Parts: sequence; structure tokens; C-alpha cells
Amino acid sequence: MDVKKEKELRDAEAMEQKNILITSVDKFLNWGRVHSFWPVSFGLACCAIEMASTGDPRYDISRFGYEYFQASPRNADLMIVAGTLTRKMAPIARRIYDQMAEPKWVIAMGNCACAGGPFADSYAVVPGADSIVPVDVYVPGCPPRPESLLFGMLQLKQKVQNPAKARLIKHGK
Amino acid sequence: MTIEKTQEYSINIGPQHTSTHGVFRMVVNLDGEVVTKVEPKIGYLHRGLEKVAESRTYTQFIPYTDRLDYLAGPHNSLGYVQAVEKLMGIEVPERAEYLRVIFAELGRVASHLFMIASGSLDICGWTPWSYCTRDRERILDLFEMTAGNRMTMNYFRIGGVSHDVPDEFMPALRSFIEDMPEMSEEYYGIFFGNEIVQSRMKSVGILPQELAENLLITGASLRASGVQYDVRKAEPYGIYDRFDFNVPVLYGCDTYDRHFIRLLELQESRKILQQALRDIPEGPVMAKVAKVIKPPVGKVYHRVENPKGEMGWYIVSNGTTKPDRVRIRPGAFVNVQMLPAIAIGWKIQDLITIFASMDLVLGEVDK
Amino acid sequence: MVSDVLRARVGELAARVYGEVEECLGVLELTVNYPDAIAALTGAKNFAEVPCDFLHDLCGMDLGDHLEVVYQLSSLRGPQRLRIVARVERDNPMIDSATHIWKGADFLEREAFDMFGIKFSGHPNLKRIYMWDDFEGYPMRKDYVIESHEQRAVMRVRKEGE
Repeated sequence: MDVKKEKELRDAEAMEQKNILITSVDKFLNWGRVHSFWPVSFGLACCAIEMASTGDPRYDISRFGYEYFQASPRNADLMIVAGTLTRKMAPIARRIYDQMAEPKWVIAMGNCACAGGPFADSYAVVPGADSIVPVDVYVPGCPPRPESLLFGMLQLKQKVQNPAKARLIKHGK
Repeated sequence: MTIEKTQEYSINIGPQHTSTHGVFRMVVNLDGEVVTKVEPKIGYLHRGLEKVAESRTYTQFIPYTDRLDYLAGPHNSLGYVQAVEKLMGIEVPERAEYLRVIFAELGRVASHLFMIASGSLDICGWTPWSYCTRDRERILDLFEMTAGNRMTMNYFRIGGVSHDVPDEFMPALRSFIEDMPEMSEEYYGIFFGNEIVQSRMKSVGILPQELAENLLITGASLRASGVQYDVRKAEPYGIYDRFDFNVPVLYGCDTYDRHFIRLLELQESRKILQQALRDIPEGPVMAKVAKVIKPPVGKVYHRVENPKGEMGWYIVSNGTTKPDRVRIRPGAFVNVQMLPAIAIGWKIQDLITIFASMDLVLGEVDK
Repeated sequence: MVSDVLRARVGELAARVYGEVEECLGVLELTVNYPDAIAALTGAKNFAEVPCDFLHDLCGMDLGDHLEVVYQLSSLRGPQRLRIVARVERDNPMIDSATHIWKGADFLEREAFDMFGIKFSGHPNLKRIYMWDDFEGYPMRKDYVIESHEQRAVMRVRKEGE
């Protein structure tokens, strides 16, 4: 499916939820979801090492509940594209994304996943992961510090808990 | 019901896998649980660095070299800047040479710590992972103190290093070096002396010496098969001929030896760091180089001893500010050929430990 | 810093394989045509006192009107070094494979094939290694045109069983 169309449909769904007030059941489910994003281990390049360092005793991603990196995409709900997405790898990234069950989110970590990074003009690199999978949060940096990745995940938490607020901020009101 | 016959089947240990240390793919033919054929398929992180080099100036390419073996940090730039300096005939000041050795050896220690950590993670040992990464964080603190970035420092320049280290660097380095023997004892206790590790890794995946030389294996895997060869002793680059250290060699040729030799190399790196810290002089850290780097027409091939193998840099210059060809010979790329040769006949769980002992990093394999 | 023994041996080898010898920053360089490349490599491996028996690197080069395969030789038992450059035609680049001398030349030759299009006859498995199997073109050649951002953002179709 075209990625732009997919993003539009998702936004429409969030808009619909804003019109029909979020019920308390939804609020409760959202509370469960944001306190346990389980990422699928999709580390590609240097950013994967910083993602692994976030799970270290020092930066400790498990105090948020996010440390359970799943090996299989079917059990995960967050995909952190950490590293350069090459043209050879792109269909596999899409397949992993399709295998995840709804609801699912994507964080683009690092300059290479945001927009191609230093390799944007190389013949073998996809300039930005958002032409392959719909991205929710962009974390820039080369590589971003573990604190930046934690900040990105907390921003995703804000976005999932308050879809209306994310809509207003996006449209600049 | 009797079984008529069995057959081999092939599975795909795909690019997305927790134990493949990156995006490595292998198609494995199995007879039950026994491996009969392994075919590695690489290229899922190929970023075309050699083509990118032809459209960047010599100094603009230095950050790209850090992304090759991203675990060893500044060690990759060492080969590149030394090759360009050989081409231009630049002499680097003394203090810069000592600083380069310090950072290169710290990169080697960081890389070996991560290899031990991930080698134990593959057999589900979480404790060595926590211990080794905690100690690796101290090295990353030293890198951050100097250059701001934890892994990809972009610190070396053609003609020296970019700036001098801050005042708190030397005491922090001294305290790290003093803690290293205790760290090695700890690693021996929790990983290498552990009987589960020994029974899973001893006598598994034998790489005989003649096969290693024919397959053009270099680095620590060659030294674990009985060949005492290290580029820092055979063809010293920089000021490595002033340091007094041994080249460890083991004759077991198995997976355990390939892991254990990294611990021995850690101890040798500690000796080099101590001597560098003792002898480092004061002075400038950058030679007098023209602002625009334009080497004369020529070719140079320079080898360095990377933590993962020997890295070769072949630079062809045509007299302009951009190189004509930069060829990177990665040690890990040629070492991948070890896997199909020695994994035959072992079970699939041994395949994972043999793979971990090869010590690959996909940034270097795929460029 | 080239030893006299090595210089003498390389001179004899050059006469046998019709090559030219140069010296570049302390390293001898022997240029041959592609039919004599394997003879030069075997000769260098069997030098009398200074055998260059470790193939350190094998790469391709694009020089406009012709291609080249560059072999960097060294040794595990001595300081001798040699560089052998084999000139290959551009229109139909063919050269014999070195895999029967060193098994480790396998991946290096596959990379030269993938990036430059040089075919190595006698190679056990000459396929692309870095790019996917259906990729068209040889990226490291100087006349390769890099696709635009929009073209590269389109996901490629993956062949089943790749």
C-alpha cells in the first residue's frame, strides 16, 4: 500500500476518535499500551549499538517498561528503525512491519533512517525510512545518544495517549 | 508406522535476527539438527562508501571511516589518515602520535569487550553482557570527554589530531587502566572459567592453520590458529615500534580459543596504554599542513591491525582535492569465508557460537 | 626499502610474463596483461627466498579506456611486498580466477564482479554479493549514473528465493 495513503488513513482514524469521545475503556487500554512498548529488535547499523546501550545498566530502558526486545515481529508493537536502510533491505523492512499486529508504531532513529543521513546520495541507500514504513517519531543524531532515544520514546508515549493533542501540535494551532 | 526416509531441508537465518550481530543472512541446509551446508548472503548494509569517497574531499571522508567498524570507534580513521600522510609525506608531531595510539588501543579494548559481551549473549548469558558493557561505558565516557560523540568520534585529521585532550582525561584514563586487571579477573570468573561456556565452546569449530592461511584469514582468528603474526610487529605503523608488548598466540583453533585470545589481547593493550601514558610528551597536536589537501599523483597501500582483522587502504590520487579511488579491504569481509568451511557437521546451536567467534561487524563487511 | 633479492626475483618474473616493473613509495609494482595474471601470481608465490604467498587484497580499478585488477601480495613469514596490476579490456572484461591458488579470493572476486563487471573464469560461484541479484549496472565504474532521490525511494520488488 502506498505509504502516504496509509498515513492519511491512520490520521483519519485518530480524527474519528476525537469526534467520538475517547471512552474510559480506550483510556485504560492506552495506559497499558504506552507503559509497555515492546520493540522488535531491528538494529541495522551503528545506531543499533546505541539502542543496545540504552538497555545498559546506566541508561536503563527497563525503568519505563520498554526493555523487552522481541525477536519475532508478531509479538512486538514498536519498530525502531535504527540505522541505514539500504535498497536491498527495504522489502524485508516492509515485510517485518506488515507482520506486526495492530496497534503498531515506528520510530526512525538516527540521521540515516530520518532522511538518508551522510549516505543520502549513495546509489544503494533509501533516503529516509519514511518512504517504506509510516514513521511516527523521528529521532535525529549520528548516532543519537541513549537519552535522545528515551526522549523520542517518551514523545511517542505522549502521542499515543493524547492523539488529539498531537493533531493540534501538528497543524500548528 | 515406520519412517520411509528423511530428507534435508534448508532454512533461512534471516537478516533480522537477534543473534546475527546485524543484518547478516545465511541459508543453512540441515539434516535433522546437523548442518550440512552454510551459504552466507551479505550486502544488506551496503552503503556504497567507496563511491561516496570519490565525491568527497580527503578530509570530508574521515567521518565516513568511523562508520565502518562502528564498535572500534577511532581505530578505522587511523589507517586512512596514515595512508594519506604516506602519500603526501607529512610527518606527524610526537604528541599527536601518542594520542593516536591511546585512542586506537582504547578502541581495540572497546571492540573486544563488546565481542565478549555479545558472544555470551548468544548463549543466553546475561551477566557478562552487563559487566562488559558497564566497563565499555567508561571508555565511551573518555571518548565523549574529548570529542563530544560517544562512538563515532571524527577526531583524527590528516597531519595529527583535531585538538588536545581536556585536563580531566589523563586522570580518568589512569584510573581506568588501574582497574583493568581486576576487570579481566572478573571476566575470567564469570565467562571464560564457566563450565557451561567451556563445554559449549571447547573443540567446536576447528580452523586448522593451513586452511586459515589459504582462506586469507587475518587478525585474532589467525592468531588463535597458531600463526604469530601481527601487523603492529611485522610492519609497524606510527610509533608502534617503540612499545614493548607480546603477541598472544593459541594453538587450540577452536571457538573457545578465538574468544579467549581477545581477553589476552586486552591485557597486551593495557601494557601499551600504560607505556603511552608514561611517555607522552607536551607539544603541538597538528602538523603544518596546507588548508586544502591536494596529494601528488600516486598510489599507496597501507595496512593496520584492526580489532576485527587486518584492514587495508589503497588510495589512488590524481592530484586533485578528491581521490580517484579509495579501496577499503575489510578484515571482517574476508573472514566471513571461514564460516562455510568450518561449520559443516556441527549442530545448529554450535553454528551460533561459531558465528559469534568470527567477530563480525556488518558495517565493515558490507562497507 | 625494497631488498635486492626481491628486486632481482621480480625482474626475472617480469621477463617471463612480459610485464613492466615500477617502484611507488617503496613498493614494487608489476604490470601485466590479463592472460598472464595467473602465471605472475603463481610465480610470485613461489619466489625462492622471498615468497609473496599471502594475497592481501584484490580489487578493480576503472581507468577510462580499460579496467584493471590490482592484487596486493604480502607474506606471513617475511617483510616482502608486491603489487601486481593486470590490465583488462573494458568491452568484455575476462580474467582467470585465483581461487585455485587461494580459496579466500572467492569473496574478493565476487565483489570485483559486482562493482566493475569483471568476469573471473573458473570461479565456483560468480554472483553478485553486495547488490541484489537483479540489479543492473556496475556501480563503481566511472560512467555509472546514480539514480535520483525519488527513484531510490521506490521499494524494489524482491524475487522469491533470492
